[in-house]
Amino acid sequence: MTLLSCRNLGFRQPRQAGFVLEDIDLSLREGELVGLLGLNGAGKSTLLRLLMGFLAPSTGEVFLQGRSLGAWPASAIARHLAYVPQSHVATFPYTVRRMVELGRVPHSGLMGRLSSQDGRAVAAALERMGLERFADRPVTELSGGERQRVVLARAIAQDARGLLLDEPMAGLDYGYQLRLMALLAELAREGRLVMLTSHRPEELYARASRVLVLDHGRIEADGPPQDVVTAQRMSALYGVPLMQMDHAGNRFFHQERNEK
Amino acid sequence: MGVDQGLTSSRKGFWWRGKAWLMVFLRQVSSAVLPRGFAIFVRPALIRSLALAGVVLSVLCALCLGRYPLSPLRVLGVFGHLLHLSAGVDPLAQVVVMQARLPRILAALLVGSALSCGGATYQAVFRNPLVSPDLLGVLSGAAFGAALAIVSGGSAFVVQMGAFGGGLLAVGCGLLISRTLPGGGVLALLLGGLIGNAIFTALLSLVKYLADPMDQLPAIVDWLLGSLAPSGWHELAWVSGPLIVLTMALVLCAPVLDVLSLGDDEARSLGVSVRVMRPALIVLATLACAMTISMAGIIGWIGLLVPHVARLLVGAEHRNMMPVTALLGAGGLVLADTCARSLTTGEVPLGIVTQLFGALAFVLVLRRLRGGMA
Repeated sequence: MTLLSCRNLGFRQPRQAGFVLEDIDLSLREGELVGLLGLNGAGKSTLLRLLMGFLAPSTGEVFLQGRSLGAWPASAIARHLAYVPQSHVATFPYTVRRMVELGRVPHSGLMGRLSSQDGRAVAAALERMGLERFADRPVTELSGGERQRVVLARAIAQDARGLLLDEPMAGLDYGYQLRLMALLAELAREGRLVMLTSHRPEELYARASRVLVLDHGRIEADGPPQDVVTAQRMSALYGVPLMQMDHAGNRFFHQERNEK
Repeated sequence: MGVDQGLTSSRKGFWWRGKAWLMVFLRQVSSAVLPRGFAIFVRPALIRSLALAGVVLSVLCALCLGRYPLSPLRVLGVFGHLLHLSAGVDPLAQVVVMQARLPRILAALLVGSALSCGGATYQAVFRNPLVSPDLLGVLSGAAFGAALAIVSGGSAFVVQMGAFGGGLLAVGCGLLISRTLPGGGVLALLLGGLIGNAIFTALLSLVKYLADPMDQLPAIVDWLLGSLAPSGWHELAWVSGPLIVLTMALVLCAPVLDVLSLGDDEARSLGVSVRVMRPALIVLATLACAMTISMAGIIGWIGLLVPHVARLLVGAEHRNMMPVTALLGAGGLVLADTCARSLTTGEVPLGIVTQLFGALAFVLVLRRLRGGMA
């Protein structure tokens, strides 16, 4: 079932001539793990923010379950879509548990007390991200990668049908990068839409069910990873000659060297 | 783990060790009387009770101390007579308590709690723990309004209204300017506030320049130093109701502050309308601060310092820290005002006392400042 879609979506910064994004048509279904590749500044984060409704599109429209995003109350959107930003700036020393509990705000209400169901969702999210032993520590005392895991746990506790993540692997150690991709694949298998921006085509090849390539504000490629994540396309995208090597269902890239 | 080890004793000075021992003590006490797992819920409640007891104690001290010291028994005797519990009347004690000290203490309680809660709200909304309520120009605006009223020869009530109106006008200007700036968000608000602040500071200087140096200028300077001396039952009557409502509203909005302090995108992703909630909370906090200024002039540092102390005691979660902030602010200002009127034979302006003690106390708090926290 299509959870999130957009038609003719475009975005232009105020008082600037060129479009950051242009003519984006997408239909994102539940159960999909969608990877979004693109150069720095290609508009990946802007696309996620438009899909979340944080930015008002300059052209076109975003639809959540077929209904215009603008027609949804903010709390209802939050029950359907969770968002993980590129980085979290911890201003106040909330405990890790409190940070994850905030993921239940769309369900319990801003002023409401957490129910036992909320408590279970928080405990499960903490466990999934391996944060139980950090639960009573202030987030300001955690490293950047650990904070990122806290924000991911909050998004999981939100228990939304769609999860949009902006470079979630940035700042995570290698082990957690691999665990995170496995977790996102598991969430997609549970029937959620998971969409993430990434600079790691190999990880997307291994785990994503669909890969989008964003270039100069337009979707240049959209399809299964086998068709999209190819040496030819990656070479063209990143401007570096690459060769691919397939092994045991994985695809690896290495730089083509003209050594004699 | 490494992070834990890195933060052990060597870096954590006296304050942290003191707090750690206090927490261990509270945890032991709470776990001794309640089943396991309940201790975490008990701590904020225990601190709240202790803070409330501190407020009561500070009020009792303030009633007893002053140029005419009274014993606690004489003070209690006055209240006993009021409640028809005792027959004898101590006329002198009754005048001192009921006419001179009690209205002033009540004003200090209201002003202290409102300023502290306003400060905590500003810090959360602007996601900056070093922000105080004057960020958007409420102080400079109120000072300009009061100075203008003094120069115009207005009564004490007109000066109060001038301060209140001036404070709101300055914040309104700051907000309007921020709307014209590109980008929006917290940065635009900060810049708008900065510009508004500068405009009203310049206007205040102009009024001071034009004021009669023999009587109007000293009156302006006196007002700017802040004092609760003029607070009587009459002054309390019109301001106490709205101030209580505003402070309670800020305390009740505590869960919203947790979400807003995460940042715009994260707050929106949790279903909170930043565009509505942020201005609404700024308006509530500004109204509260403008009222305190109209009542007591400029009382610095309370709004900046007290939220940090509350965070130190009960953690950053606003649902726990806002009530403690209100209580600490109330008790703290009562003590500061008692010092202001008791330290010397004359009266030291309250603003000077809070600035001096606040700045010194902030040094201690800053030792605990790690990654933006207190």
